[in-house]
Amino acid sequence: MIRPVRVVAIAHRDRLVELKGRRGWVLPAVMVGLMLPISGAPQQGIGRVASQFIPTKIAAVGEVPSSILALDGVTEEDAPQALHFANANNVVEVTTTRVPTVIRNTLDATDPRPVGLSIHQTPPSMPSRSMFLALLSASTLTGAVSASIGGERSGRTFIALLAASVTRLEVVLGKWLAWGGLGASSALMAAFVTIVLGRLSMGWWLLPMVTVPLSFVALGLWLVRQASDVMGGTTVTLRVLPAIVGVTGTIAWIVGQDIPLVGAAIPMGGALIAAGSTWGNGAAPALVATASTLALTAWLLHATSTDLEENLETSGTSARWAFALRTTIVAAMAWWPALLIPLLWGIAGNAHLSETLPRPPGVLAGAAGLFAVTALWLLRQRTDRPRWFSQPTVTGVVVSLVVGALLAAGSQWSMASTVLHFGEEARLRMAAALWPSWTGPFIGLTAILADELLFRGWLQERVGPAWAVAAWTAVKSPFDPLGGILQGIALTGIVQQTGSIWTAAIARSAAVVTAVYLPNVPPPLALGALLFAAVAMTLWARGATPSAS
Amino acid sequence: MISPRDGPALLALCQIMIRRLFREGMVVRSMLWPPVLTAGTLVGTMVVVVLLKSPATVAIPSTLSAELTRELTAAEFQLIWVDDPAAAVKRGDVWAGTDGTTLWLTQGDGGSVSLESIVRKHHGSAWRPVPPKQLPGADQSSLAGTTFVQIITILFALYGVVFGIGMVARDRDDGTLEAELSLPISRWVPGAARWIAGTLVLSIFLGYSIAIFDAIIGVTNPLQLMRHGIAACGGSMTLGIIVIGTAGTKQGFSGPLAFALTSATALFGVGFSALAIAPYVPLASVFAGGSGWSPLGLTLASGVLTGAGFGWRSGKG
Repeated sequence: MIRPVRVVAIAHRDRLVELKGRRGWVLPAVMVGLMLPISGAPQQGIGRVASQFIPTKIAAVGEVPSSILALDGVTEEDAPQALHFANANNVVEVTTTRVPTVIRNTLDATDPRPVGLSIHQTPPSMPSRSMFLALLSASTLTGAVSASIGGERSGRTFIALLAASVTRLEVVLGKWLAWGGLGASSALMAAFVTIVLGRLSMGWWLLPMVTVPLSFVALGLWLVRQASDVMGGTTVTLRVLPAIVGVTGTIAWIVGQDIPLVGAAIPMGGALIAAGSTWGNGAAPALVATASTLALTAWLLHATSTDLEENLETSGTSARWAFALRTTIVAAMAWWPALLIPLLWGIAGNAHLSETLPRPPGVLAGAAGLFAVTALWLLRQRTDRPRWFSQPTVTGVVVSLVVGALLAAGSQWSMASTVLHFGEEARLRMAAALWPSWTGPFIGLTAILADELLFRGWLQERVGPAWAVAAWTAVKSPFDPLGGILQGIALTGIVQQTGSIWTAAIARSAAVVTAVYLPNVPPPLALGALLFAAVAMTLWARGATPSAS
Repeated sequence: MISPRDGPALLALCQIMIRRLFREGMVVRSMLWPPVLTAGTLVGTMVVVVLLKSPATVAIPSTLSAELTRELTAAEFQLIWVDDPAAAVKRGDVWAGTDGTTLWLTQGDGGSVSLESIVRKHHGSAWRPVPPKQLPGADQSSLAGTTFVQIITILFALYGVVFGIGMVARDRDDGTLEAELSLPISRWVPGAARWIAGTLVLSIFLGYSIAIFDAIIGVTNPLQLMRHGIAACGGSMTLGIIVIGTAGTKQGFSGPLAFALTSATALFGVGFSALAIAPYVPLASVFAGGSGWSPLGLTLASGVLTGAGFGWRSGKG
């Protein structure tokens, strides 16, 4: 049972808070300032503005015919998108991915044997200015929606509201009415101005136009239902709302080019495109778009009301394996894309781009990602300087250098080269990034430090050595798991014994430097070196060797 | 006024605010959103291109010369023999059609260049288009990468506005700001600390985004873009703090936010104009170009003024 009086009262209260005093005039003034020019601008003016964004300059290089150089807007320069002209046996060759119409017409004019060209392309139907009115009326409400729940929480008035004799649904409906109503009424007023000035005629588009701000506010309320303050809420609405409206709008527009009713049925996007009379003045697309968007709005309001609580309880497992798994996924998302996405260009058809993109920036970006992961977790925890930052002892440094030499020999062994053939290029990139002797000292050291801070420092302290080694192997050496595990054990052993990640960093740096000058090591010897390093460091860490005492 | 306690207090407040920002899941997700969204869209597009790539079908009449047919087959076009190629293209049955003297296309995209080149060569035309031997390499793709970074900078600058307004408004609401202003330190410190913390966090994540794009598509002069980006982040923080003053959300949040976001967007718009000052103004300089040193210097100056202005206004209130 919804009691309209209470819903209106909540809406009134919400608007009173936001729109009171001198500052209260700012939001309506911004809305008018943005929407009025779009409502009233003459069509020719909009066309003139739009035409300024269409590039008119054409760059040409090589043996450019004089008839081409005489054209307006053609300049002789070696720009990246320039047309390359050449003369091959009295035939003009134009190297390009697309011949501009003006160039084609000029060359055809002097061609005794031209080839006719006919392009059967239906121009896409474009939305009118009323779509922008709908969009603007909605997007100016981002702050109001964020403050509506987040502001109440941080101001500690939310609990009083929830404790009052109103249902959760009435609270949500009241807030939706306050801001959805403002958005819808401002859109209607702007449309009225447009119609009165004769820029657009009245039509079914008015219906979906009103639903755009209504659904926008409903989605916004759902997104910020757990925001603890206005800042958290605004960062969510600012990033998610435009993306959802943009994606659904684009899909609706593309799908609607062929089947308007299917495009209109896409919630939010369909209403946005229908608000611009994109599919003509018929009633069907407008009604379908309105219905689908209102259905989504109703669901969102219901979902928000069922999820509305004062206390934001976060649940999560504290199990070591779960934390290690989460870290592995996050670290892989930071490390892999920077190294492997450039390979996708080749798969997509442009191998030249994959080959010419320099690789060191990939290692740098991946290392920056790992640094960011560690920094985020370190800053979130409420402890002082971690103990694994401590200075290493002289013994620790000496052992690190020895282990580094063993790892350098071991780095030349790889099980993957004989067992796995899938993704050879990906494997090579991952292996090369693990031992960054080729990136220069700055990027190489950055990558090593990022690894050690995360895997041997933060993660090892949280989940223990076994899970830390497993995570390190999965992220850094997925194509060569045995090599990764042995290296991980050796490095973990040093840190366990010395209590300092700097020793592992020294060992890896020594390994990278040594590997540059080391001749080819036979695979059995390389594996032996790795095994020895792993076993020795495990024993050392357990205090079984004399040096551990 | 500057007291000896201001320096340590400024450092401590900055540290606390940066920690607080990093602890907020919504804020961190927002910082990662621009690179994830843009890089994800890029990868998604590549995957779709790979999955939907189909052979180019060309309708030809049976009367087409055997030599041209051979050449088209050799170029890996999928040939379909029809009576009327023009009608087949119009119906949308095929991508293109030719009878040796005319080309019919469903769209004038890059793929049509190689088809047109073969037909013109065979027909003996005085000119013909030639597809590039090599698709664009890193040099050319870095122009697109630069555009991506510029768009991302807009997003970070808009976050800067939210940070500027939000860091003051929410702390006013929960009493944190009052507590800071009651400390035996100068009144400019809380405002300056917010400006520094917000600008630093935004710049770090913007730098990470630039590094990602430099790795996956290439970026022209990343350090220059970084200078423009820091200037934009700092400029938008200034805008946010100036607009909110020392008010909390109870004095209205949506109005100042809408005004500041609109102003920031307008400043970006100035960058597209031919105005001579655009390369020197923070935010506008992102699209106007230039070395980035001038807007960076102006942003740092605006940070100092933001702190001073905040202190003055809080002293009044």
